Amino acid sequence: MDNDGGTAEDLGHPGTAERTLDYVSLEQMLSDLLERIRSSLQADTAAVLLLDADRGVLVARAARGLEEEVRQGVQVPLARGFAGRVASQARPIVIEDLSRAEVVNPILRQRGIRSMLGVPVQVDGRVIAVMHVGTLQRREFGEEDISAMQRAADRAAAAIDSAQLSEQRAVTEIMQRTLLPYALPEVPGVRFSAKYLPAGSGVKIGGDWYDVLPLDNGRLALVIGDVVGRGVLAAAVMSEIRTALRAYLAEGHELSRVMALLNDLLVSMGRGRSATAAIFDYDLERGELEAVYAGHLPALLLTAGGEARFLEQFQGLPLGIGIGQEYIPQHYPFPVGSSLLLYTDGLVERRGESIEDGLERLRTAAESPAREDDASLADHVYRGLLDESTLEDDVALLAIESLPLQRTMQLTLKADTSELAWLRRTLGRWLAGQGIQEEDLFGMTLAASEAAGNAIEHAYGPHEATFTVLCERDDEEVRVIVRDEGSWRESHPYGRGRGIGIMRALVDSAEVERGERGTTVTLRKQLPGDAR
Amino acid sequence: MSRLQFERVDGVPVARPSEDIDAANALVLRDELATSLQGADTLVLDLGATRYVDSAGIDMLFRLAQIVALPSAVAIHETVEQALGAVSPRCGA
Repeated sequence: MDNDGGTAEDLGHPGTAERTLDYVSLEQMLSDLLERIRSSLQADTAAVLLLDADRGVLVARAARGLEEEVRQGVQVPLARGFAGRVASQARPIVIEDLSRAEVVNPILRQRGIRSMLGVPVQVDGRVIAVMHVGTLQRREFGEEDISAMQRAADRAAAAIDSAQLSEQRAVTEIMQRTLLPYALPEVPGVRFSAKYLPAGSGVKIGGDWYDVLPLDNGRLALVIGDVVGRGVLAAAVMSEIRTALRAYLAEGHELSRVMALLNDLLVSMGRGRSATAAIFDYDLERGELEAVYAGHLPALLLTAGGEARFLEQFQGLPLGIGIGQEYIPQHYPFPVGSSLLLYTDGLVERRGESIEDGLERLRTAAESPAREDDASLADHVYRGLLDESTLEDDVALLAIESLPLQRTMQLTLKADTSELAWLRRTLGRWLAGQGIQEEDLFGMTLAASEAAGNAIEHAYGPHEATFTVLCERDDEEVRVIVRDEGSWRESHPYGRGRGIGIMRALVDSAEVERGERGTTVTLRKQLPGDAR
Repeated sequence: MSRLQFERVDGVPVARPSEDIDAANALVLRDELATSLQGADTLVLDLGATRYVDSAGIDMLFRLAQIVALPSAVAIHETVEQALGAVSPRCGA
């Protein structure tokens, strides 16, 4: 067939590749390229399918005359069908009569395409895409057509590759933000610090993670984990596990059950990746930890005296290896003044060194008392072990320090009833610290909870309102002052009517001040003689 | 959030609510308790694991009796066994 007009030479004009660097959209660039090819080869259709090497398929990405191929997201497995063979054999293929050939994509037949020419798009000998043209009339693509089409593909290859990379980078940057650790919560009497250092340059995400989230009844879940592998894929699986773990914890299961559920989920997802993890349930009131391990390195406990030791553990199998695993919980005392270090293996593993040596190095670094001014515990430990230039693997490190509560404590809480249980536990801890004993502690806690319940009801509007609880003491008494900016309601159809009576019965005095700018409830309780 | 454990002992429904019964979960708990009754005229609430009941929780417990039309009011026993002992022979509470 005749290709007059010298258009074959212009197909892959160098300008095509240079200009494409400026293109924001890969689609637009490909679409322009295909239009050129189609008109110069006088074909009826032109399409490009990009190789998804991870999944071993070619995905239709741009088309002219075959637009539905893209809309329907046609995918062709490697080595199968026309495009699949072009890719797997990495050479041009011509089909003169489509009705006699194996074709995966039904659209080609439906559109009545008779003859096709496909060429591989390669960068450094690696196939990244397949480009093909088709004609409705039977046509014999000659050597000249083939080489013109192949030249066009060769010249477009670098542009397609770089456009694809910058597209991936843009997606990665957005994903990266969602994959970063969640913010650590503010909890009175607990100081959190963390390090999160994905290895390697470029993409700053990895399969390591840490997480802290509130559980029922004022307890906290502390999580550390590590998905096998590095980079975006490990990070993607990490994100799935982290979310599933949050969901299982929120459902209120026992830790051993949470870990078992997570394991079964990871196996059933079929991602082909395993992970190690440790989950802690931190009961701040009792000063206790419960832990379950799935193949993770032991947490390091720092006592109030500054001694560091690894917590003994019932080790369960890593997540994602086999269904139906059992994870046995272990309990540890964690009194005020203690600290806990959760970390991933990147912190302690070094090439040519045993894991025992790495663990001992961590223990020594944690015991080292010389902490620089303002350095968090995580920073302190990290600086004693590594600097970023020697980083060989992702590192996640979470430090939890249990501190005594201050004499004066101010809490700012969301005007939401879900805060009440947390308030009672936190207030209970503060009262115990002031020497208030069981029955008085219970009375003041419940009275403050009633006042807080009122404050929450006063909150107006759907936007996020807050109220404050100020806890203070002098030599005679403790005072808990609950302030909101709403207007007092004497009674409520559901339950609140009893609130004020309950408050008065439980503490020495309960004063309610209603002002234009809100309501203040002051609750007082005399300190017992031995606590003054 | 409510964490209601539920069982039947000799046909009598025994419910063990979560550690806290407060304004955050009283309504959910009331609905769960009402559902779990399934026509029974007696309900034993095991509050052994419960630490806090606020005014909304107390209100809910008293209203529950009206909502599900239990024949008698709320009675308090030291243990689940005593409560079951009181209801089984139907000698009142």
